[in-house]
Amino acid sequence: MELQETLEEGYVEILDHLRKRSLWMLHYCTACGAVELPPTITSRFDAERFGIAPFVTSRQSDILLVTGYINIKTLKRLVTVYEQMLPPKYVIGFGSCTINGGIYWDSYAVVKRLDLYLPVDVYIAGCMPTPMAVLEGFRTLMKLIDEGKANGWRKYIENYDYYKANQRKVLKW
Amino acid sequence: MVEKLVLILTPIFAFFVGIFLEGFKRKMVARIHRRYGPPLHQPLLDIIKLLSKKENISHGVMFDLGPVIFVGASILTVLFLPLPHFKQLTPYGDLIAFLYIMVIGSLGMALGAGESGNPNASIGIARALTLMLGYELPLIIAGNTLVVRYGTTDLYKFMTLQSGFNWNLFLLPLTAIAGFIATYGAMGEHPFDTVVAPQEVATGPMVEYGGKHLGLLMIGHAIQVYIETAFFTILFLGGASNIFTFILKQLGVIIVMTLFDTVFPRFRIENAVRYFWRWPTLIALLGLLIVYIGGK
Amino acid sequence: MVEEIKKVIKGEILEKSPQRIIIKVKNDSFSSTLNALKGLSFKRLTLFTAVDFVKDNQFELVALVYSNENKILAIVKTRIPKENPEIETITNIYPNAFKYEVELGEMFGIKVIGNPDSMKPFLLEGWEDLPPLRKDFDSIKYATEHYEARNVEVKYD
Repeated sequence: MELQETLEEGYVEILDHLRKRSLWMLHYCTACGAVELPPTITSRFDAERFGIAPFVTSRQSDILLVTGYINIKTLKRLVTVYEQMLPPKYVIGFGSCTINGGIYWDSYAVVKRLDLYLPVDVYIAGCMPTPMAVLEGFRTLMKLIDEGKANGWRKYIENYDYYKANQRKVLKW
Repeated sequence: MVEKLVLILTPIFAFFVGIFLEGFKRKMVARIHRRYGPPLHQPLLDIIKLLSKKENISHGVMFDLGPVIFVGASILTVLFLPLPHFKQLTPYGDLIAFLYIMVIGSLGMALGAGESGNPNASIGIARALTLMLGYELPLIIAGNTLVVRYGTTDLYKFMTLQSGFNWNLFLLPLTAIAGFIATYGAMGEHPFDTVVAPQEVATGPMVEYGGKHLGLLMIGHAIQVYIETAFFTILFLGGASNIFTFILKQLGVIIVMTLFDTVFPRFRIENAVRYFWRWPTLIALLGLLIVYIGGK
Repeated sequence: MVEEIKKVIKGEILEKSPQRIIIKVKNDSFSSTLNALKGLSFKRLTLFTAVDFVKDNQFELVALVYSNENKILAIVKTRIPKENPEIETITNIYPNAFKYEVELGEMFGIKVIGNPDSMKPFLLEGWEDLPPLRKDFDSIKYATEHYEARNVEVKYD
């Protein structure tokens, strides 16, 4: 029994180690932060050397990059897209708007904290975060996956009622 | 006995060669873009990641069977291609059978994607089948030119008859060009990537596939890359006397294809079909005429 | 060009610069003015919106129309009362006003008669408060009430 457990743990560790080298991000841009992604992907800061590539459908991707402010209309679509993705899936909050509203702190349509509605694994602070900061965020996520700490998707399943209640509060479904 | 063992190992060999060619292609594209590029084994990592997904979405039985049919048909197609010194299944199926079997994979994928109910998938399938109508014509004419020239339809004999430097690329350049364009279209590279076209139809038939399904599709795609390049190598580059020369020639085909792939934009589907029915078909017919008049 | 406009349109005409004319008209002659301007080669509607004048208790409707031939921008303004604001649609004159009119209904609460999508939610799904672009709507209050902020201590070094 012990042998089986150690084998399973080792298997998961090896898998995590391999999996962190292939992260596909969803090409879904909520706001202005998307403007930092083309330089991140293309020649200068080539994100593909870490195995990070943009993909177009939610079924194929692993990372949900929330690039900038999230208003109510976007949040509804964002939740749908997140639930369409297949676990293990990771959320990266991009820019100060996802942390505490950013410059839209007094807006009537912008939710301030992303982590009330979706489980965020990594935040990248800044307005805008430079491509270097974005890559650093990706590296942090890779490290977390390697250590087995990027468990946002598991948190979402376990605390489903909490997240749903928060979402219903603003979305009025 | 050895023959049977090779027969079992060939799909695995084809898969790894396909992975290598794909990885090489991604690296080369990155270098042309002046990027560092992903590691050479990146496609393998992608497949491992996809196969280790924890959940899967299914849209029905056919949706699940589609990737299986795709991979199965790809493996079957690999077995009908001869390797150096090994006939594989070529005594039981010749060039014509091979051209038929090559289509099954796409049909399986079409059936699977059709069940997902996503409009993008339907558009992608329609485009894939239309494009197939386009590139099959020059491919069949080019293949049959060789049949007329050698008086046989056996792929293994094609390989042995071209030994030395009697490559069809040098002897029948027009047919080789037509065959190359047709194979290139079958690979779905730019400008013939109307099928996947991420910006238009969100990767077409694969739009609803994710996780393990997509992993199977990528395995199938890796084998398809092997098939297309090996097919061109056998028909026009004289096969090979050992396995390393064979892979090297496939690599050459991939390099030339990638050079075209990186510089072209995308055709619309009707333009692609019109192009295939005009230029490669004309060139192939001209090659056929030359062989017919010039004799063997 | 201004003379031609003056001949056709009854209203206060201000010439800011040779390329920018402000026309202030009565509420009921708003659409007829736009119709006349369209006949005078002002074929492009670039903006159609409203401004809230809280002290006057009025809305000012602003339509920007541009003439590609004469390179003149005409700004047509009119005032409507704030209680039960209703206007006639101008989509029969400028079809691209459709979404602008939807926005008027959503952001200011101005009902547009003749526009089937007027007062339907487009950006604000499930909105129950005052229309947000009115001046008496308190955005900060609404945001602090509805959207939870992160508890952070701000330190200044």
